[in-house]
Parts: sequence; structure tokens; C-alpha cells
Amino acid sequence: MSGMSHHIESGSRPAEDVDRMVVARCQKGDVQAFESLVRKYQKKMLNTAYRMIGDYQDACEVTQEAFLSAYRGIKKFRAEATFTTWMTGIVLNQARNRLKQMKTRSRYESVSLDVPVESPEGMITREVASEDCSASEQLEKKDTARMIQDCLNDLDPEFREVVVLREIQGYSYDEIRGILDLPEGTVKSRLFRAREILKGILKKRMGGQG
Amino acid sequence: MKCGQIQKMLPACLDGILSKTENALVEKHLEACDSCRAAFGEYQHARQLIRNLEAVEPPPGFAQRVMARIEEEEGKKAGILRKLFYPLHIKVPIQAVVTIGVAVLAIQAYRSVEPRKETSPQFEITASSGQREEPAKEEDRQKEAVRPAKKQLPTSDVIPKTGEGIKRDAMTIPPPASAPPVETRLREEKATVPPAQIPGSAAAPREAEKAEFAAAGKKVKMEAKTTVPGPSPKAASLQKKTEIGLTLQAVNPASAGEKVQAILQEIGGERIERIRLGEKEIVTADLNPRRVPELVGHLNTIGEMKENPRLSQFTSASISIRIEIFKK
Repeated sequence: MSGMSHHIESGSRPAEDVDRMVVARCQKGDVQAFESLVRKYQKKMLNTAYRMIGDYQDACEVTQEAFLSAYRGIKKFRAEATFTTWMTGIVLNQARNRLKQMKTRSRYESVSLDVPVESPEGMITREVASEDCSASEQLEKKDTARMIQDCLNDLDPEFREVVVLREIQGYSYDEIRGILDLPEGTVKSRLFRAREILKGILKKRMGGQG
Repeated sequence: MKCGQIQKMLPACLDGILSKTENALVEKHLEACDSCRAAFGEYQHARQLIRNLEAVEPPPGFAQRVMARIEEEEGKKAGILRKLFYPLHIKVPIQAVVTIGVAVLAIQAYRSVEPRKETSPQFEITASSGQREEPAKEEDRQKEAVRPAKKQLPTSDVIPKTGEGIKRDAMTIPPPASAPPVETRLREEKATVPPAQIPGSAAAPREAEKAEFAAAGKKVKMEAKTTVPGPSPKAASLQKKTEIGLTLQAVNPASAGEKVQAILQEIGGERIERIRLGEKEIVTADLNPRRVPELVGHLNTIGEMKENPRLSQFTSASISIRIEIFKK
């Protein structure tokens, strides 16, 4: 794995134009054109799914399903949105559905804390934050990335998705409004609330770190 | 401005979306308030942590797997389309082949059956109906022997009363006398049949008589059918008959004509007609060619035949006989 990278991506006009041309080819049944879109956006979509779900394997499956859905619905795609915002909306829908399934499943299956969890950072074990353990000890044991992901997982999905879209994917308020189909005021208030909650979670989990 | 109000503005300040006035107010407050400055620092830190999250890489071959799924789905779609249209590609030739096969079989069957129809229908009909109709036909035959020629008169014989004209049923008018006589030839077994097998005579073989009577009975029925106006398959086949012209000289042509008519009825003639033209009598009928020698034998007993017909093989089941009777 490469080192930590800031991966807020901002679409440029020429890139959007290229995407539109490729999408137009897809709409005419060009499968190869769609493959180029998959290759171009697989990482971005997988990261969106992974930050929403928190499980790498599930995120891969969700992303795959999202691309399939996009392919099936490519003819309905209109140029009102960019391909990335349209595709991100599909990934989020798929992720929400997967989260619901996982929530239902977790009601019937008690997850053992000793069972390791697969992540791109390696197999790690779940651990519950303990009041008795110091923040420095926890940080020593845990991967930072995984901790932050856990913090994200603690957010309600509706707050998590605005954080992911704004802070991780770097979408503008207007783009987030388009992706979530929400009024801009709602997007802002939800984002402010999400930051507030996340700050509290991070403070609680990481103590005086940072 | 109170800390609570300032802290609500901190996320927006972080995003840089506050107005210049709001931004100036917040900055001024943060310089003076440690707790709000700490809170702002926590927001910045949280955001930095999130933004610094390492992007995960897709697993190797992820795009290929996605495309494989898509191509699989496309294949299924194509499969559905193929299923919908495949029958058209395969069944049409099968149907065409089957149709052609049936047509060929039908033609072959028709070709193989057609000659039999021409040569043996009388036998088939006789064999199937002869047993049942035998008593009635025998009785009829005996009656006919007593008063020949009476039976056919009302239906088919039209004899002009004054001799001024000739009325004939169009269906039963024989072709012109110029029609070439057909060479006839009968089988030896039939030729040996006694020429004058008069019904009721004890000399006639019983079995032969039965068959003959049965055939005669059937032919009476067929005669009735042929008199029905309008074309029928039977009538069409009758129209194609070959013809034989015979000339007979008798002392009394009218009486001879009656006798000839009776004989024709006796030997199974159909559509028998008798026409008088002055002193000349013309009798026409349809007859099984096998009966021709028998007829000739009878005619020789009635009068003098000008010439005996040359008998040759007949392929048709029935021929037209035209007998002209002149005064001697």
C-alpha cells in the first residue's frame, strides 16, 4: 500500500466531456466503452462504498453490483449530472441496501469479537473501546485508519454519507445536493451536524491525541 | 457573540462558506476564547484525519470481474433473444422438409393408387355390395327378363313421337359417329363366357350369375347417380370413356332396338339410351369392356353384325357403346 494520500478529486470540465462521450458510446451498446468507465472509476466508487460500509469484501460486492446497475441503466442516464455523481448515487443506494441487510443479519447472528475482520490493511480483530484503556494504548494497538473508519461507522448512515461525499470524495455542496437529491440547506445542516458528532466520536475514541 | 453561537458556525467556517462579516466575527472570538479555539482545532483535526484516510485499492481483476458479469448478462440477453428467434431458424426448414416429404409421398401414393382405380373399381364395389343386394337383384333380373327395356324408358329414353326431331339428354348423347372405334381385347376367360346367358336359364353357372347380378344392381344405382345434373367425379370420369361403334342389321329395327336395350341392361350397361331416327335405331350405353364379347354374341342372335369389333386391351373401367340398327 502506498502511503497516506489526500484523495479529494475534483472533476474537470474536459474530463466530464470525455465521460459524456464515453457514456454516449455505452448508450449505443458499446461494452468496451463501459469497461473504460469501470477502470477509470472503480477505485473512487470502491472507496465510497468501503467508507460507507466499513467492510472491504462487502464494499467490493456493492461496487460490482453498482456498476452492473449502472450498465443496466446507462440508457436512462441524462447529461443533467456527471457520470461520477450519477454513479456515486448508485453506489450509495447499493451501500444503504447492504447496510440494511447487515443490520438485519446482525440481529440474528452475534458477531464474535474474536473473529478477525478482513480489511485492506490486513486482518484485524474487533475491539471495544474501553474506559479503562488509555487512548495512547488503544492507538498503539490499532491501526489509525481502522480507528477512523470505526468512527465513521459510528455515524448514522445519513451523516456518514455527507462526510464521505464532502471530506473523502471532495464533492461540492451542489454536487452532494444532486447526488442525495436533497435541498442545499439540508445538506449543509446535515454536514455540520455530522462534523459535530464525528468530532465528538473522535475525541472520545482518540482522547487527547492530535 | 456567545460561545454556543460561535461553535455552531465553526463547521461552516471550516468549509470557508461564511460571509466575510461572519468570518471576521468568528476569527475575533477564537482569538479571545480558548474553549472555542480548542473546539475549532478539534474540527480541523477530525477533518484532517478523515481526509488523510488512505484510499483502498480495488482487488486485482476487479474491473475484469465486473465486465465478466456484464458480458454474462449480455450473453443471457442474447440467449433469450436466440431462444425467441431460434425456432424460426430451425423449425422453418424442418416444416419445409416435412411438407415437401408429405407432398412427395402423396404424389407417389396417388400414382400408385390411380391405375387400380381405373381397372378395379367395379370389382371392389361388387365384392362389397354383392352379397347384400343379391336377392333383390336376382328378382329384378327375372322381371327384366320378362319385360326388358321397360325400366329405362321413363328415365333416359326419349323417343320422338312424330319423328320430326330428336330429343336427347345432353348428358347421355354419344359422341359423333365419326369417333374412331376402339380396339378391344378381352381376356380369354371372359371371352369364353356363353354369349346368351339369359337370366333364369338353368344352364348359367350360379356363381357367375350372382356376381353378374350384383354388378348389375350396383350399376343401376350408379346410373341413377349419373343422371343427377351437375358435374361429379364419377361423371367426369365417364366423360373420358373410349367409344365403340357397332352396326347391326335387323328386319325390325324397333324390335331389335328394344332387345338390344334389354341385353345391355342385362349385362350391366349403364346410361342406356335408345333413339329412333326414321327406320334407324341407335342404342347407346356405357359398358364394362369385359362384357363386350357377351354383347357381340347377343347382337349376333338379334341381327346381322356388319363387322365385329376388333377387341383389344381396354384400360378404362367402362366404355361407351353405340349400336346403330338398320333395317335389313
